[in-house]
Amino acid sequence: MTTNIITTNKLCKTFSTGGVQQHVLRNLDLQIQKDDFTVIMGASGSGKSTLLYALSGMDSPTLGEITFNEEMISKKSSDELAVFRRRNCGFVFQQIYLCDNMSLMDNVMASGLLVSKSRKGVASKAEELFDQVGLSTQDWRKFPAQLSGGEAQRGAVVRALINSPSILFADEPTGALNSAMGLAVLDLLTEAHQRGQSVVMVTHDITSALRGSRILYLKDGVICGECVLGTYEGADDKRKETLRAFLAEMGW
Amino acid sequence: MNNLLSIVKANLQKGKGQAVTLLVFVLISALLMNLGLLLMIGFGNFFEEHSEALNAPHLALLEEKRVFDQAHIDYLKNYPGVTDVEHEQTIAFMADFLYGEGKMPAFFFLVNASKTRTMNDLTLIEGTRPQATNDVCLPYLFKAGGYSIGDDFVMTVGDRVLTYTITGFTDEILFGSINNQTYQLYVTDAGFKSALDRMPEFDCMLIKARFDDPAISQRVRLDCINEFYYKTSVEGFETLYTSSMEWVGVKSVRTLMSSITSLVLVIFSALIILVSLLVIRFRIRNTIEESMTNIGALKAVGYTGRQLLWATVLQFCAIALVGIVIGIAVSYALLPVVSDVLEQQTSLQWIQGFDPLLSTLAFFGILFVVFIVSWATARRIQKLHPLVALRQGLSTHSFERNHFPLEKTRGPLSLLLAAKSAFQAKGQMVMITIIVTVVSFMAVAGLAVYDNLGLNSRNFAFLLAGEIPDAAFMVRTPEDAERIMRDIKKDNNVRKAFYNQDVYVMTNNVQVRNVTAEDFGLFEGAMLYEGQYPRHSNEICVSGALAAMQDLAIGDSVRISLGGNSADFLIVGLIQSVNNYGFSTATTIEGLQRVQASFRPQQMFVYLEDTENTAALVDRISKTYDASLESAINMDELMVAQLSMYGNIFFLVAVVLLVVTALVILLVLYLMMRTVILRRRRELGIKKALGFTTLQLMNQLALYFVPAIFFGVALGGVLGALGFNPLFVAVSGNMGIMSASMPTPVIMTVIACLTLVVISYAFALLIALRIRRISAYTLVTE
Repeated sequence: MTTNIITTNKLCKTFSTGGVQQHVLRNLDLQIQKDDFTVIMGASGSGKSTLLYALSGMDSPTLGEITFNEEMISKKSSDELAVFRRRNCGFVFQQIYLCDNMSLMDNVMASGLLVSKSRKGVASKAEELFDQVGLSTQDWRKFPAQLSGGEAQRGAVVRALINSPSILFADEPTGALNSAMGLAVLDLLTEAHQRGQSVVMVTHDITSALRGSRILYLKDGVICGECVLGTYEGADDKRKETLRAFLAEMGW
Repeated sequence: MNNLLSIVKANLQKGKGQAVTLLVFVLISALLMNLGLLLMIGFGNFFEEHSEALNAPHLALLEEKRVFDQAHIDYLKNYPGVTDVEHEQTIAFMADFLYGEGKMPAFFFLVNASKTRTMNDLTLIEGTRPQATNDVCLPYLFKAGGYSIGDDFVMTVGDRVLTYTITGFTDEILFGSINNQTYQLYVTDAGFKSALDRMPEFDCMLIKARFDDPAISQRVRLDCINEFYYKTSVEGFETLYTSSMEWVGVKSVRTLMSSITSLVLVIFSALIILVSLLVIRFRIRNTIEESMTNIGALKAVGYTGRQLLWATVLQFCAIALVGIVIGIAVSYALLPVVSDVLEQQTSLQWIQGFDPLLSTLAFFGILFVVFIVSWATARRIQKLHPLVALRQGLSTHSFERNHFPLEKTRGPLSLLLAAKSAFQAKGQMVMITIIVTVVSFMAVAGLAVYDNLGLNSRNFAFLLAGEIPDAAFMVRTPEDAERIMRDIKKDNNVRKAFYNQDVYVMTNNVQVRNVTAEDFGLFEGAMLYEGQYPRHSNEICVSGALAAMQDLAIGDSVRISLGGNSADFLIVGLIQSVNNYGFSTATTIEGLQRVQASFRPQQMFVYLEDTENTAALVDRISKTYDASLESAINMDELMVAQLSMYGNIFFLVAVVLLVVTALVILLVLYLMMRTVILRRRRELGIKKALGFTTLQLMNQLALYFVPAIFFGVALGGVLGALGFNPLFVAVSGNMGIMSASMPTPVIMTVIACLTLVVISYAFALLIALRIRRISAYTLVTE
């Protein structure tokens, strides 16, 4: 039996620009299941990223409720949400967003020390994770500007995982990488999921979407379709065909 | 050119807040610089011009009527360089009167207002000429002392009380300064006759002279004293010592406060300019960093490095130009306020119009340094390759060293992150430290000025006056002096009493004030700063200023002349004094008698066990020996009255220094924080996304600056504490001060420094509140 990690109830998000209101998310009722690799797809401007950041507590909804493990997060203050994020969420961004005035290790430590008091414990876990993602000691001592995009994004994955978050949010994690680097990052996310990590990923890339166990299609702020692919064990033809068919149905 | 201007305009619009901050810095610099220059040069010129406008005498000699001789007038008329001589009858007497917060003794010349005189005739600043018998016109300084038209003016001359009604305040050059304590009062013809009937013993003659060059006034005065007094030894010329006035000396004391204040302002403005230049340099460097992509894009579309360089220089010079113009305008608006404060000491109604020369000097001086610094800093734009600029200048970034690696360094996370940032911006931190050190030094110096010159001004008074007893008595004859001295010494309240009298002598054609004392071992002031006081009749101390001018040192001999006689002395010590331009000597009474055998001291310095009893002693001696006394002065009371005036001025100076210091630190902080928040916007957003709270980030930002501020304040505080005394001596050396004991008030300094740090931290937190507005979502969606 699957349990929900995130539940939304009539989730709405409206932006107001120059007096013009834009309803990006409209009365969304959604459940994100624990241990799932949920992929959110949709056309540009469909509200994918807005949904991701609302679910992760990075932004507050205009209306509606978001419940995380039965805890209502939609009414939390900015600082309460910060504490929520540090304890429960990991983030991987398209633009990587490492602090460029800190070494890769410091980027990870700064995140880890927000939750743990054990400097040694955090450092040791960071080294272990760096090792897992294929970054050497020399690499993690470097500053982001001294790393390639792929190395930096792998470092960002380590930062996202350092606090063993309940859920990992990834917003177009391969968007700024070449295909080889992108695949390496996707492998990391897949491995994390296979180890039992819940993942929510926004993408418009089919190759990335194939890694998901569940695909949600967003159109004009509404979930208009869902496709269950099951746990990823390789991009076989059946999986590809199922996804293509689903996306075709969605008008992709 | 239009393209350049449009870039300048766009840049100015983009950074309005920072442009305004810079403008404030330049404005303060220009304001202080223009005020300082106007005071330093404008006020000095004003005194001379005003003196000429009033046709003020350059010398005024007072003789008792019974010893007045037409030959003295003739002597003066025939003196080389003398252009005009006139004399008139006056009633001259020492009297006590109320001034400010206390009772003060002073010398008064009562003159007949109905007579006309060519030199500095009755000129009203306010009110009307005296009409009734008891009407009087007082020098303008009395207005600062709390008097108004219609008030009673009461003088106590021994047992006699003279009460007049004030009808006007006059413009006086020689007889209108609180430091000289010699005032000319105008009464009606009937009032004059009435006063003469009541005080016939004070019937005197006032001789006034003007010269081609007022600079000779001191020499003429001394020559007159020698000619009329020492050569004849006629009793009755003592008043010549105490009441004769010369222009150079009066100018010196009446412009003293403006000199000190202008010096403080000019030094202060120079420091603020330094701070402004550092800030401008910082801003330009940051503008280049922030506009890197724009620079790249503009270069890519064909703008030359030179064009972009001039656009930047033009931008900062435009800000400076506006700041300077406003600063100079504000300085002129503030001038009446400064003039009012100075008026308490100078007694001159200084009305300064626009001075094109000085203001042009301030304008172009500041603009020039701003231009140079802007140009030197912005030259980097010329060298920047467009591709490098388009890549955000990445090739120029350098993170060679990772300070405080988090996996190894212990400590609170916010503190460590702040420290990392601070170490990565060493240049900025050094700049903040320098700025804060400079302004903290100024603040501590301001406190020291207030404490030593305003609050506990006895040390300063000793420097100005040399030696200050609790009471001083000047008697008419040496015989009276001995008799009164015996009586004083019998008084149980008296701790000590000795003869001490200033006598003007000559050495190598320079007029020198000789401190002639019975026993220098009894002195309590800080007059001696090297060697020892004279103990034998052939020993002398010379002032540092005199030693420097005549190349004298301890062990040398010097010849002293008086009344046609002279004697050689061995220099045994160096003394300091601001009197007589710092030209002083000190000998024992026996020493001076080697020059002038007939000399016998007539002035006594008296020190009491308890200064509460000073007034009673002065009162008793005055009543007992009224006829024998020339003057009896309660110095404690006089000090309170005179120093309260300095206290007010220096309190204002200290407040201005402290306020400007706080303002500068806060402006620098504001500018830095704004820049840092703008530049680290992305980093702050990332941290927010990762789970840092707003307070944690605010603390990181505030803590980022605190070490530099703390270090700067501590350094400035220590430098101020250690450096104020030597700086004071260096600055006041030309006044004759060679050594001073002006301790910095430790507790006040520590409190001020801690307050600066706390205020800075609080202010930094306040500015950092802006980051509340940067949401993590905004960051990732931008």
